[in-house]
Amino acid sequence: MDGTQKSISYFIFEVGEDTFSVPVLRVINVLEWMKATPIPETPAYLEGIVNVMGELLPVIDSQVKFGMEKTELSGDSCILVLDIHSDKETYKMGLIVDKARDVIEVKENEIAGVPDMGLELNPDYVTGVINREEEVILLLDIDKIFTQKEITEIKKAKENQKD
Amino acid sequence: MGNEQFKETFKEEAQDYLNSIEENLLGMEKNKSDSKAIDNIFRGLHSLKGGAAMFGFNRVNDLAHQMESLYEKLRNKEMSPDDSLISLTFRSVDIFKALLKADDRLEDEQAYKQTLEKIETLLTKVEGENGETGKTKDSVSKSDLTTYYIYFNPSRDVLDNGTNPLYLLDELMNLGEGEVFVKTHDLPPLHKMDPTRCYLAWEVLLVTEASEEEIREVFLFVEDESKITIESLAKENLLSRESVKKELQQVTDDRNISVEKLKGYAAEKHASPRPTAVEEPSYEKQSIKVASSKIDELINAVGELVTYQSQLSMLSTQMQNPQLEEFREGMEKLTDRIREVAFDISLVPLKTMLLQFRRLVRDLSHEQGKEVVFYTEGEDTQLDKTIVEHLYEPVLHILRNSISHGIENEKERLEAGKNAHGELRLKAYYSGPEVHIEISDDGRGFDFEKIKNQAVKQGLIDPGEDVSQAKLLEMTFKSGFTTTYSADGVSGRGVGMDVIRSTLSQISGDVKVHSQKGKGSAITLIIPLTLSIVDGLMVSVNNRHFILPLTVIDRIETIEASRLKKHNRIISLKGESIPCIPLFFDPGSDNGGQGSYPTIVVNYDDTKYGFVVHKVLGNSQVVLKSLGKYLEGLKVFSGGCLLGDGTIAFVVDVRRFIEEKKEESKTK
Repeated sequence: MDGTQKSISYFIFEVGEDTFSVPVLRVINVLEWMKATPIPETPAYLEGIVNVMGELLPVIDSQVKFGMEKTELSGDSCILVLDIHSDKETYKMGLIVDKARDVIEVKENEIAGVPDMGLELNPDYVTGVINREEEVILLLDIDKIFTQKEITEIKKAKENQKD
Repeated sequence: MGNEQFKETFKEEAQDYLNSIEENLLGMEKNKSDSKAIDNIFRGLHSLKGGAAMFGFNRVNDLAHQMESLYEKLRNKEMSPDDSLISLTFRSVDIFKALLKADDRLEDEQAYKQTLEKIETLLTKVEGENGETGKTKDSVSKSDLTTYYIYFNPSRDVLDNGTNPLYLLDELMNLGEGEVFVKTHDLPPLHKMDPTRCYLAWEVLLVTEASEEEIREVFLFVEDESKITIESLAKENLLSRESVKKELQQVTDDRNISVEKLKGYAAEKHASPRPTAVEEPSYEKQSIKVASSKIDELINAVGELVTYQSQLSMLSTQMQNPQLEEFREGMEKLTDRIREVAFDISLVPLKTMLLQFRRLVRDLSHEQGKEVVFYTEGEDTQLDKTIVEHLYEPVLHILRNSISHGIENEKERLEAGKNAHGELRLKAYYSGPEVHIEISDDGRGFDFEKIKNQAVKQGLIDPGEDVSQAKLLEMTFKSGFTTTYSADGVSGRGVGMDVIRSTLSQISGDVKVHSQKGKGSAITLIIPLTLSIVDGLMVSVNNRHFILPLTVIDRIETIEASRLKKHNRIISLKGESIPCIPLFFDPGSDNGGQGSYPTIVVNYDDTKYGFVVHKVLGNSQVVLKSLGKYLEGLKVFSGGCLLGDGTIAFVVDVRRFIEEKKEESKTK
């Protein structure tokens, strides 16, 4: 019993062939997949808006966002409602993932740094790696993934491409 | 816990008193002999004192007490108001505010003590001066006795806040002589009685020299929750009359004093009875105070109601049942009415925020040694209360800029051939679906040279480029744009313009600047009337639904697909050349339109634009919902909404959409 080590609960889910996790406290809700209403003139990873009990929630497709190949929806697909903390405020975001798995307890010393290479994913998105039973679980920095500025910046990027 | 709640209420009320004091002070500053203002300030201080003592705000109480003594002297004309006194009162108001905020703890002990001392010196000075005259004044010319009828029915829970109605009656009796009749008709049977409630009411006949105002002051703290009637019966001592005495003997627990009869007795003697003055019949209040959270709740609920209503309408159209149809129609009308009333409730006049600005202008101009006259216009213009909250910062910023940097000092002004005093104007008015707030000064205006230099420095323009002034002004809104004016680090004009714009864009508003060098500048804030419910035209493009606010729509036209050319979208419609923009689709690769497209012609900034769509679906009333903080950057939509069948439609921010398209065509 090493009660000295603090452990944190992580929510585990799958996107494509990879396994990811976010602190469970940041997961407000897990919703069944539903069709989002697309928003015109926005980047492809922004799947659209869904109606969650009268509230509008922007939803992002994790496959597109992480630069993976887009696959067919499976019966396990779901939307994680995440609590995002930006510099100034907090807000909710939906993330479409292929499968929600479970919640695990992770001790601080189990979390390793991100290797310099070997990741196709934007390294900014990952804060650490957990190794569990031969499986690598990537810890996502959701606050970085969902920064607000992105939408306008992406829009500019799109315009530049056009020129 | 209950106490906490009362304390909060007291704080809110205290804020109201302070606001009223400030407002009257500003009035007094203009007209020092304004005795009404002095009276109002005195009353405000008195109320503040009473509440403060009750809730343990001892410092507030002490200061209010001293100030009150000062104003008492003013009222009795034992001293006359001057600038130093007004400043002193302003100081005290600030201290009161700080004290209330910090729960009576002092942050600036020095200031508090100094102010108290100053009042003390003033008071002793005045007392020394009119040592005796003061006393004689009190007993002068107050010989007229009046008989009042007072009905006092405290609310059931009057005991909750520690008020003892009997003390109030004692206080009343101290004003003169009279008779009290207790009314027990509301008393429930013993087993149903709750000992913490007050079931009693009282009728009082009071003969006194005091004025009605003074009598009312006795009930100051219970006035709002109680039924109180005060009526003057006769300008004499009615109780000394036999007929009245007889009449009073018949008064029982449930037989009330007949005011009419007593008045009749009074009239017996007076050959010409005073015209029965139309005293406020039952003292009903024209308005009540409601917690703003409750209004938010109401608006939310109404929003949902509107959504359900549209669901019902849709169902009823589908079912084609005449009975249901009738029901739907009735519901629709009712929903409309409720929506309108709720919307109305959530509006507040701009006046509520102006007071603080007047004070700010006063303080800042004093501080800077400039004389600034602040004119306001359109104070009754109403805005959604959530919007007003967002306006405070930008307006503050603009005013501060105007006084610090816009308006020159006296010498400079005279040299420029202007009046010695600067003029600052705040004008609010409705303009279509928007409210415009224009803040203008007659100062030196924006320094275009400086802005240009800075723009060059930031790489926004080339040094040799010839840029119009309008464009330069526009640049000051760019994020991070700043021109530092003076060495002391005080920022110059143009600073923070980006902040103003971003604050306004949070409420789907905008800001415009006009300035002429040497003549002054005008900054206009453009604000939507409401944020919550939109009357709109629903259109569809590629089977997606969009809402265009009805208020900007001029008419609907149909244009043939062949007229929409790729490189020239300007189409002549009824003799007008109108730029027509396809709404989120590309007509080139489009098969949605069957040879022709409906085009919504909107009026924006006195220019017409056409929005080309696939289908027009009809009028729709929708509840605007935020798309969330993440999509804040997405300006072309002011939000989304839920339609009757649960699908989501986007509400187009016409202003932003057009601005964005303009921007796009510039970069091309």
